[in-house]
Amino acid sequence: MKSNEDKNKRDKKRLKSPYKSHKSSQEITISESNLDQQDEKITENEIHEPLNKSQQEDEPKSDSHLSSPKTANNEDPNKISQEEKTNNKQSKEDVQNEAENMSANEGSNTQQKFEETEEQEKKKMKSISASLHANIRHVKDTTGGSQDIVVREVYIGENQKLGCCFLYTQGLTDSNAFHQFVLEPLMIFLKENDWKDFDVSPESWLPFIQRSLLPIGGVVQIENFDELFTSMLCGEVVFLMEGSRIGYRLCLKSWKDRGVPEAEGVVRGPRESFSETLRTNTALIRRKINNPRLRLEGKTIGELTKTEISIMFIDGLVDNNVLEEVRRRLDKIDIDSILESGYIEELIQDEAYSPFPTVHHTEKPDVVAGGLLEGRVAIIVDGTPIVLMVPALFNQFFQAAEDYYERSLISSLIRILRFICLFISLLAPAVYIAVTTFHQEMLPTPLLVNLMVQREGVPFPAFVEAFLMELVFEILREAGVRLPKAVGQTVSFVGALVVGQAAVEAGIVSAGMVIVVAITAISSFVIPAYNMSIALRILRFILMMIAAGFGLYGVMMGIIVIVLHLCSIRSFGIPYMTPYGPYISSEFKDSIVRMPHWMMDKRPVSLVSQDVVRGNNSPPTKPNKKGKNEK
Amino acid sequence: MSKRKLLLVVFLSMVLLLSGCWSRRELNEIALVIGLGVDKIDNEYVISTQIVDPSEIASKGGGGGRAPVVTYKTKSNTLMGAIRQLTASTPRKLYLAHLRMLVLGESIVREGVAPALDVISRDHELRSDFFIIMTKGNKAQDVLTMVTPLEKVPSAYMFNMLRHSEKYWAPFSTLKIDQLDNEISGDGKEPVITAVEIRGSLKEGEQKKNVENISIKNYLQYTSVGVLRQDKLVGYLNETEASGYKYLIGKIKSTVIEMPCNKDHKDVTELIHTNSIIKANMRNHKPSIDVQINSEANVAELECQSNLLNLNVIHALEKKTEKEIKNQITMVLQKTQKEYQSDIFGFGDQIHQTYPKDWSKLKKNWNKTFSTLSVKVNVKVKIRNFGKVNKSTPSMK
Repeated sequence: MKSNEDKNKRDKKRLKSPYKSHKSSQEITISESNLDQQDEKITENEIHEPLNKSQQEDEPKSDSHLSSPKTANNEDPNKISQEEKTNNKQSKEDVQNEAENMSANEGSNTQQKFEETEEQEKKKMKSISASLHANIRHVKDTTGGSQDIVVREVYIGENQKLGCCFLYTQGLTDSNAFHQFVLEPLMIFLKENDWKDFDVSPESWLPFIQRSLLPIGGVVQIENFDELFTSMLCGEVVFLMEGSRIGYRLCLKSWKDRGVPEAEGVVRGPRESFSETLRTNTALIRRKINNPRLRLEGKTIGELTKTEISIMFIDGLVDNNVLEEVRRRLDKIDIDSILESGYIEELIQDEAYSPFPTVHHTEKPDVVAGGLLEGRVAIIVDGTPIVLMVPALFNQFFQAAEDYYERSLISSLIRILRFICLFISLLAPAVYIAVTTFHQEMLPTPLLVNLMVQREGVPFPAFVEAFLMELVFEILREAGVRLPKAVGQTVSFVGALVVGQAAVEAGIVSAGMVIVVAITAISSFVIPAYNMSIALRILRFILMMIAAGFGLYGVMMGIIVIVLHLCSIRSFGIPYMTPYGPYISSEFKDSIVRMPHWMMDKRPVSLVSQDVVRGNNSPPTKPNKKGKNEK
Repeated sequence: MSKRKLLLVVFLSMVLLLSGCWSRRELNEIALVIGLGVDKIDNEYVISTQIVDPSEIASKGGGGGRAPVVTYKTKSNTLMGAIRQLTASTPRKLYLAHLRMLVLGESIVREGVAPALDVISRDHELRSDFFIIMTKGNKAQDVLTMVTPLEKVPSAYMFNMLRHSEKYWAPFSTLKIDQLDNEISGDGKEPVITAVEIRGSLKEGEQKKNVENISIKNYLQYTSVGVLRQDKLVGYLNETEASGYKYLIGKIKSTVIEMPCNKDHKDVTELIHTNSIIKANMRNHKPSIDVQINSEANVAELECQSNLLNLNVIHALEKKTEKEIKNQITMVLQKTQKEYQSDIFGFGDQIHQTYPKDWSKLKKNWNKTFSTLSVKVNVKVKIRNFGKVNKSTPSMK
């Protein structure tokens, strides 16, 4: 009973959006998950797979919505193609399942409630109207004029009387096939044909076109805007015709294959990365978030380069102030060339002189999708696989995409490890210098004796020693970055041998210092965001100097200054240290630890003001004694 | 604005650069004092400092055959003078924070140890986690020159020796500076200091040869406990008495108790847990003390034939152990009350806490009162465990 109520609640929340219905919201979630699973297969049998799927989706819908008008289907028996027949068995099973689910869901509900939901359905389920212009207007309104949504109006037939419209998403659709197999037959071939025998009404025209003029595998009828948006945003071409209440979705999905991430490797999770083409990148994100509320605004920056820039956000999730701020800052940019998103980052960041980054960047579409769903704004620049995301908070730089894919216990422990590494990479050399030159009394005697033994004969003070080693490490690191892989090994070999072994044996540095520097270096690479680990590295050197002058007292002062600075800066109006700085308890679920997904039921409230609820899950229940899941 | 920022940076870097590295000491510029001995010879303090020679301590190879520690001796009228005088003979600055052992010579403890302790508890550099022992019969400077096996640093040797024997062997206990200070300055409890003796000859023990043989002939050993009244030595307790003392104050962690079972043989129980409750009573303004000692023991060794499955045997063992403990306590009580008149048990403190008003009258003449104080001791031992076998090993008869 409770779960039913929860479900209803959730559905009501989701109903806020204008385009979704009670029923289809469930289905869309199903189809989304299907999509993800099937992505891999699609490359193999590109035509058959989506076709089956689309019918599976489609069929139960038309069956379960008995109340919805079902005119076209009955009038045109031709329409049920052979393919559909072969698939009928399968889809019937689906229908049964669906019906079972329905009855289970609503079985305990009262009649009244059922009527309520029906009413809502009627309201929200907007079916395609007979007016082509009204349909186009609705599509444009819902997608907010996103740049990558193409609305192509054509007039076909003699005297160009028949108004048609094609809707598709750029980057997800095979435009060559679209031109060749859809536009060409309809706009060129149709004219020459003897078509006068036919009655010029859409009801008879559409089946004819579908039957005879579209040499494409998957052509499926659609009746309402939910189907329209779902199919359009997953890469299919939607075909509407003036005067007709039904449309067709033409399966012409095709997108660029993934790139492989260079900098952000994962053990678990998608291995795709952005490419250098803007449209491919937007398509990669569209594919993750199949929703018309995902908006895309275009801009051209750079007087000479005329670089295309897109900002992406989810309407309703994004904070309007943040969005306005992003637009304002982008408008203010006056530069002749943009070659990489770094140009933009520097021109729009909040704190020009802070070592801490206030703009997040990534090369992974799933990270951007995650950010968008948390109400962030993505800035995509043509010509680079690095996508910017704002607002960027301190916390975010210690979260890796993988955290959300691994089980929460594992990711929580890894996150804690990262924060430990934050402190090690920031403080280890400074504390070592401070303790060994000022506060020897803080060490246990055997350890002190040990360190003294190592330092016997080392000619430099501890600070110089540490500075030297850090410097050598930085040189080695920098040398390794741009070297070809074959030479890179040599560098690491020489580095390990010369710095690690020989320097100690020569008595120039102590072994303890090598260990400290090595641990520091490794820790700094644990932090997922490279720009954050550079910030820590800069501060590490400063702290080392202070430690050499003032000991632990100085280190503490340094930490206080850093914390004050961190608490004072903002990223696009959001305090940088959220949720620690302004304390927001609900966001702690995704900070130092990551709670299970069923506990993170809200989006970060610092970024999202409306439509906060992610979902309403209860922890997974164990099967009862009979071995059946409780509903 | 940018000018002001620049100025700020300049000032900040001034703070950093002009102050320099104020009290910086690199690890290879300090001399780690690990043992300190204080003697009084001919009205002059003799300070002996045991300093670690790091290059000799290194575990792996190397070393030029020098001793791992060096002990310097200096004479002066004051302790601080003697310590500072040392800089004239060492290349490095003495660093006292890691002092492990403070060895008080018998001579100075006899004369009164308080003046020597002042500088040690006053100096901020010293951590208060070192142990204090005294010598019996020897000079502190001699104890600090003995070459020890197993541990290269003799002070560490003594430190660990005392720590472990406190844990597993009843008589000796560790003592730290704040405790000693409190006991000397307070009136309810007198201090005791574990005493070390050189076994064998000093002359041979000073040589490196001492540790080259398998059997060690000259070595350091804790043998007794010095009893102080105020800050002056009044006498020693032997091992048995010292055990009794530890039972009474409930500081036993683990020890063994031997008791005869027939003419030639003994049974041994191992105490695993002991506590004591000291209660002060006042009747007609006459104080008395009740001590309840509860102990848990394991059977450790049975030389006589007995069957532990019989409950009576176990009860008998318990009774015997109780009797032995009580015996030891009585011995130490007798000695301290009659001979030394020094309340090392803290009965005074107990009375102070329970009857503060009476204590103000009693404390003036506490040592006298203590010597006639009636102390009732009640011991309860419970045997918990008898090990892997439940009968004694059969022997030839």
